[in-house]
Amino acid sequence: MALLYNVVGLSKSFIKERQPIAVLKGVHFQLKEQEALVVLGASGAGKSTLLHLLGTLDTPTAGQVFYRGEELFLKNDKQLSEFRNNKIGFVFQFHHLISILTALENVMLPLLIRKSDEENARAKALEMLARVGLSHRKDHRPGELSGGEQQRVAIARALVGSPEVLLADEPTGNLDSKTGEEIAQIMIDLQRESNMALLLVTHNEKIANHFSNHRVMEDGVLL
Amino acid sequence: MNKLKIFFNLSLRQGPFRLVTGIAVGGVALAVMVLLVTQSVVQGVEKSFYKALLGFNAHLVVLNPLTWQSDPGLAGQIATHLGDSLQATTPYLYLEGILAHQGKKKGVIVKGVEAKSFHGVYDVNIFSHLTPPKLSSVPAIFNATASDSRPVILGSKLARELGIQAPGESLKIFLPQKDAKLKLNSFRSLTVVGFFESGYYEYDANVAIMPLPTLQNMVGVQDKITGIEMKLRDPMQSMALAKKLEEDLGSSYRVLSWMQLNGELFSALRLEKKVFFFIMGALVLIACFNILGVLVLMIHERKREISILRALGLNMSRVKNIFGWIGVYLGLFGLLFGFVFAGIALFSLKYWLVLPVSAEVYMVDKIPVAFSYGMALLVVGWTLLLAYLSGRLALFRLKNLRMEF
Repeated sequence: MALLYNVVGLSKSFIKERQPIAVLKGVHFQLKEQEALVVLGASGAGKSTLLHLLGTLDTPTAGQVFYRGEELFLKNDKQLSEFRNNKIGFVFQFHHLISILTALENVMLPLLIRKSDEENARAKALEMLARVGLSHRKDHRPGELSGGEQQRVAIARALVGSPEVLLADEPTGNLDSKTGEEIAQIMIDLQRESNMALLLVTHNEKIANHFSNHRVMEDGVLL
Repeated sequence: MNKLKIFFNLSLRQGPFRLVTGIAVGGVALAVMVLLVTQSVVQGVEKSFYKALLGFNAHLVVLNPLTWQSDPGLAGQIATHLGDSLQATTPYLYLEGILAHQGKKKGVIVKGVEAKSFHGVYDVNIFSHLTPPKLSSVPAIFNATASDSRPVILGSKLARELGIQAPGESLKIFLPQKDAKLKLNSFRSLTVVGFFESGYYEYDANVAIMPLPTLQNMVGVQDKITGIEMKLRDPMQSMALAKKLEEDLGSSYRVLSWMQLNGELFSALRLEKKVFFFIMGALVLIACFNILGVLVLMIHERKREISILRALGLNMSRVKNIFGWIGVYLGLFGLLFGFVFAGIALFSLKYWLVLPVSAEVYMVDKIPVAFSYGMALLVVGWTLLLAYLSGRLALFRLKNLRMEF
């Protein structure tokens, strides 16, 4: 399997009250095509920061992130946006759906951003909603859906553009354990069906046990 | 992309945005309305001045600045030099005199005009209450009236000032002659045969028109005239043709165009129009600050959504584009309502609420209104430019926006 991510000495600090606070301290790791990796760690360990950097939602203080051999942070905003749109699917702890759009419209967004034809985007979004079992809720707004349904819409939105990597940041963190299990199972199934890589960060060991490949993050260092 | 634009447009209609968007669009609409109404009124004033001046003034005047002249070949020479550009010519004699009626006296300009040709240069529609009463009979009036009755047509305001109600009344005139002294028997009798109303107060209150031979006889100058007035096919060509004709006729004649004769008035009007545009245009600028405010507020309130869209792959230039177009949309709505309001206001001013104004001060007796498409286009361009710039200014705020989750 070809290498997707090659992360070299990745560090991130924030300045708080004039004091730098190191959140990531020289993280090294690699992620291959179709690989599923779970990063376990307590709150504040730097898991989400790592995920945001891999998804180019933030910039590192030091270190490099190579994607298929190309250094990401040498790219300009347009290229990085294209990278996020084409290669990455995000699932966040809080679903981050747009409240005034319907479930279907939310799922269509990545394709509309890609300037896909609206009919084609609608068809693909409907298919994706069917795969997460929400066809009957397509015209509902996020406020009219349960927590589990909202997260399923978010997964459909992350996968509609056929990304190479799914980055999931505590996707079950805001759900009860039963719904969390369901969501984890949906992600596992879809990851296998779609042959994409998955990087999931969580503090929930029960969820992590669904996957064989684990790394632990502690105080900004990936063990 | 349309869906994305629609999303942000929908945002404008939500909750507090509905109110601030309404205020912003209303502000632009009001400013556009004020700008359009002001420009239409200024345009109306200018147009009514043009109409009055062109109705009562020749487009070109040839005169000898030193002396009255008697040159029977001059009209022929003018016709040769101007060719097809010339529509009509008429000789005139220009004098100052005093009119008196029932104890009221008024210094006036008396213009002697030739009965057979002056209607080719003057707009006969300005004449009213004529005896005989037909407009087409204007030239005939001067011909038919017996020479000893000395007919005169008075400006409507002048007639009112002198207390003359209807044609047929007589009044006295004193005209300067070589050895004349102001004595009671120097006043001679005239008969009013009609009135004219050019719409321009200065003319209507100060000018009396008489047949040329009658006036020449009264002052004893026989066939002498002040000059020749001309009507051109295109009055806007008058400046160029005046220059050409002056060169062709030689140094003993001066040729003046109606624009030169009224130059100060027109430059004042032009200045007024520009000043009004900039002052009222500044109102649109201030109104566009509201659009800027709405967009800054919207960007602040929609940071989360912008971050989501950025995470999904929307690049900054497209985000900027969306907000830029929202600025233009708001400007367009403002323009639309502004045009509707202005249309209602202008229609009312023209037909329902005809506001009388003091002609002595403003030279026209009601607020004139004239709508020009060129001006409307200028207002549209100005407003959209400002709305777009407001959008750009609001987007400047986006430069410092980090993705927030």
